[in-house]
Amino acid sequence: MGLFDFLFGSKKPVEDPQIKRDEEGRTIANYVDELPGSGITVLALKSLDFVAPGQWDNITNFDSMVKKVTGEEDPDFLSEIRTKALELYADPAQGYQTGLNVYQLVDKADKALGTAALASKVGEKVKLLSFLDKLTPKADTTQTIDLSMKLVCEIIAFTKVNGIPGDSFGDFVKALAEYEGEAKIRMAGLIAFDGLVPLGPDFVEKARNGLGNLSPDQLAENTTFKRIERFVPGNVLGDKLDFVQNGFDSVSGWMSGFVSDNDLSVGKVTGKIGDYIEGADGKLDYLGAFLDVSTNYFEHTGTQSMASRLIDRAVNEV
Amino acid sequence: MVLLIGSASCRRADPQEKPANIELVEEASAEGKVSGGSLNAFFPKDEGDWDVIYTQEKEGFSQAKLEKDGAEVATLSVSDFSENAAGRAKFEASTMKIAGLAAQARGKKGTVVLAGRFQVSVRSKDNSFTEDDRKAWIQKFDLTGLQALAN
Repeated sequence: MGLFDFLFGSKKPVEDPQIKRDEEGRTIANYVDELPGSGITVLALKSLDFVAPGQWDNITNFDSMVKKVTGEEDPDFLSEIRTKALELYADPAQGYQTGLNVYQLVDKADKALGTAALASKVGEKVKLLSFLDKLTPKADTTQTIDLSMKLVCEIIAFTKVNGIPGDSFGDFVKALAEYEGEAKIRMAGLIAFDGLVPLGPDFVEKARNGLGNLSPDQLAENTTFKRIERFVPGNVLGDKLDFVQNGFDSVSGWMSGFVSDNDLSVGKVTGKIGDYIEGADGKLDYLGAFLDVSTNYFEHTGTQSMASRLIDRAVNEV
Repeated sequence: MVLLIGSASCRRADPQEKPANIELVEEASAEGKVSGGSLNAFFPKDEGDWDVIYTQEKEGFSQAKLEKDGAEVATLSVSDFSENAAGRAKFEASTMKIAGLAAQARGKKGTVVLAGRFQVSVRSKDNSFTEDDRKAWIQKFDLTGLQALAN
């Protein structure tokens, strides 16, 4: 026990030192406990609440999540579930580590910029105009690849957790219709922050065409692709590009449907985010760039999804 | 170990690998655990307004959600406890029986039975799904088939 814990009491349960961890020496509880309860990522996600009102509860404590997911209260039983979830995460063959890993790799936020943005808040709002010189809007091709990389990452995580073949696009699309809570908000973020805002209302067609014209070499040069390349199914680059194109094609109908079902539009998204960011409606390409570098909404909600799927399984195996 | 499973209703049966009208042959792993996909054959089937949707299929484990009219009401799962002596031992204290098998409550929302080397678990996700519902749905699993799987 450290001096801090001795003086102030330790909030976190003391983990069995024998508990297995991932290559980073971490447990799934570590990742959840470190999620922020506030900040630009959380504000951005909250602005999408209208898509799934009240469904996203920003749980940033693993033990609270165990209670919420299982609906159980007995401390001994909860502790048993926690231990089982940690064990399942620590076994690489179970797929949860890969799932979490792709969410982390696809979404690299510039924490310094996010912190600076929060520090500059006037009242409740971040002033976008004061960051223009630090932002570089992405070219449409880069943004198209980044959008499709997030989708690919979602497909990989889904198939890994479900334990089904990587190209199970049909199962994935069926499951998308049932996404709820943090998973639904993540998809809303994908469509709003990586589709509508940077690429405009016809982002689905634009991205489809962009991907259709993409060469394997162009894909290989993309920084986001480079980070997750080893997880993308396909032996050679051409196969990986096929996977990306087929994956995007398979969900394009669902994306268009999500936009119309939720009455999503560029105006609605910027209007909602305007509650937190001043100047959101004027410079869409800069707003897109700002959200890209200052948030990690995909990793944040992806971590919550992985943890809740683990808990949902663990409670059945104790 | 090779398992022969007749009339398996595999959701993703690949016609090239798994012809529809012959027995499905699933190779178990080196440790002797059954693949999650082949456990699906022992789950309850869709009926009326009730749908069984598989969500996690891992070695020695399969889980599905049970939906009524499109809303999730329960979780169904089968877990291979052959390497989980502590898990199996819990059933020695069972006083409850379901379909003649040792059964137990797991917390206030779960009911489990031990069928051979498999724990079959049903957990309520919605308050409308009661303990009686859990007991009824446990009996919709092919418990006899699970018990018959070789150790």
